Amino acid sequence: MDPKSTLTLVGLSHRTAAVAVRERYVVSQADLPACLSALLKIDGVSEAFVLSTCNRTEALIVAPRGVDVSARVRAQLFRNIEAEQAYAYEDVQALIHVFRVAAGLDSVVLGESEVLAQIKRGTEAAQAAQTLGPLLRPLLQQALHVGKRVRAETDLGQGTLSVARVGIDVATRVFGHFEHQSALVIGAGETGVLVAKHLRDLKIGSLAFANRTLERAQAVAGELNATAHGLDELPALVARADIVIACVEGQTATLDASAFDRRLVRRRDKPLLVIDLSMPRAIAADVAKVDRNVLVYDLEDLSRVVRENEKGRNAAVEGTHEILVTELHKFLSLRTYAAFSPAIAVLRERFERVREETLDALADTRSDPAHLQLAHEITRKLLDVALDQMKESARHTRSAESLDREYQRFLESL
Amino acid sequence: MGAWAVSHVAMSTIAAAALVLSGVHGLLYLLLFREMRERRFGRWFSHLPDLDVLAKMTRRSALIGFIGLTVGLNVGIGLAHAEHAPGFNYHNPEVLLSLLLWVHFGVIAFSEKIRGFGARRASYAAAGGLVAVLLSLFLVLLPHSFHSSL
Repeated sequence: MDPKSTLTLVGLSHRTAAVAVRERYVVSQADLPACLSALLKIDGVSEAFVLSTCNRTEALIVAPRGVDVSARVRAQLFRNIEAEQAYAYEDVQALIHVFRVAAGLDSVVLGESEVLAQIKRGTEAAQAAQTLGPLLRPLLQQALHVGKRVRAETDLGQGTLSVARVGIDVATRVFGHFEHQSALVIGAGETGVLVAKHLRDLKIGSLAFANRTLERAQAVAGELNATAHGLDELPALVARADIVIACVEGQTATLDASAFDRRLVRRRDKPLLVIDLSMPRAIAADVAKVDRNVLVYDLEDLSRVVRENEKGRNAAVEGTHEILVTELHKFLSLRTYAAFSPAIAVLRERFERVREETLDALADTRSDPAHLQLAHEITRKLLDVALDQMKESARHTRSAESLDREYQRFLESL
Repeated sequence: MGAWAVSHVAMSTIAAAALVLSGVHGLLYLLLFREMRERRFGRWFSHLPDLDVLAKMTRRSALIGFIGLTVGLNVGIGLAHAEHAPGFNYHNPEVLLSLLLWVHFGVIAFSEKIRGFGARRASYAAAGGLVAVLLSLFLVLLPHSFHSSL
């Protein structure tokens, strides 16, 4: 990929680790700068990017070729993890993985687009922490482009496209219609707002937001015709709710059985749906034991629902194959061409020197602007021919066929 | 067979079918609820309608059964009195069970209005009622029942 540096990806995801493991290694947005700086302090690491979502925590690292950083990154980010719960990829394999993640092919909900916003936020954080460089910056831009292209050109972007939406689908399987139901959304972040919008679209009877900071809850509640509350009101809110959805970042709100009035839940004999979309989980395990009417689901449960629903989407996944290989080829060609930049600078300087020397030797040509323009034109055209040749050879350093084989190998290794 | 007897048989048959349907829907509700409660999303989850739909079907079928039984029982009792049917009395298991079913499914039909009698309890009641409906049909069809002596 690059003769001097290696691209390494170390991570864990819903494919390799359960929620209970994933929640131990979440890097919150607030902790991201410190985490990136710590990675950059590892010997040899020149660029770093971290993506931490409810489905995965991954670090993308650039280090000099020959220096194995994956063990040190693993020790830094995933201490005490079992070997099979994390994975590591290098160079083209790492690139394939990043593109697949951006395309939503490695998500719990195939094709979900939340991951693009998460990559964008991660990129901004890395940019602010100055841990991006000449390899990761274009790579992440290309990944975002791949993500958008796959969703625009294939059927992968159709249908249920977020875990929040899957949660609402489960709620629909319980209540059918929402006109007479009350919902409580804990957490007024991005996911909380998304959930609330879905519920509003389904004409929920009443909607309440509970958030650590009341001001934030009031701001989003105003937009969505909901009521806003602090976390201290949770027991009273839970008592009135038919659906409780927790979308909390970090462990700011943990809802346990003590927040529920057991007698009330038993007496009203109506399903009480509790969905935890938080990472780490915000709903304690004992909530499921409050009463037989309480149905509790977390991200792991929702991913099982998704797997049941996704059996017919293989055709859409097939369609992404060609796009990914084309984009890989494009990126690698550009990287190889970028590696020629010192040679191009030398070539340009040489061409210009020869031109100036020639003009100097023919003393009378300097006085004629037409001759000067002609000399510049010839130099530029010759240089263009040389650069075109370089681009062509860059494109052929790695053929699309060999990348296709590499992609197949990657898929087989999953 | 007179017109009243025909209407008794017809309404009782419709009622029995509706009550069986109510019981089956109640049973399906309980199966789906149990699967969802255990966080399994298997065949019931994939193939059955929403819990809410099953609960509504349980109640609506119970209501149709209740109305059918109201008409069928009244006509039947009226006929039995008018024709002095041999073996008919209110202690007869066939009659007693039919009356109990009428009350039972009446409660299920209007359970939405009863505080604390939600979809799950209504489904348990309907599934239990299903056994009673089958038993009632069995009793009616027995060779020594008073119905067979008519």
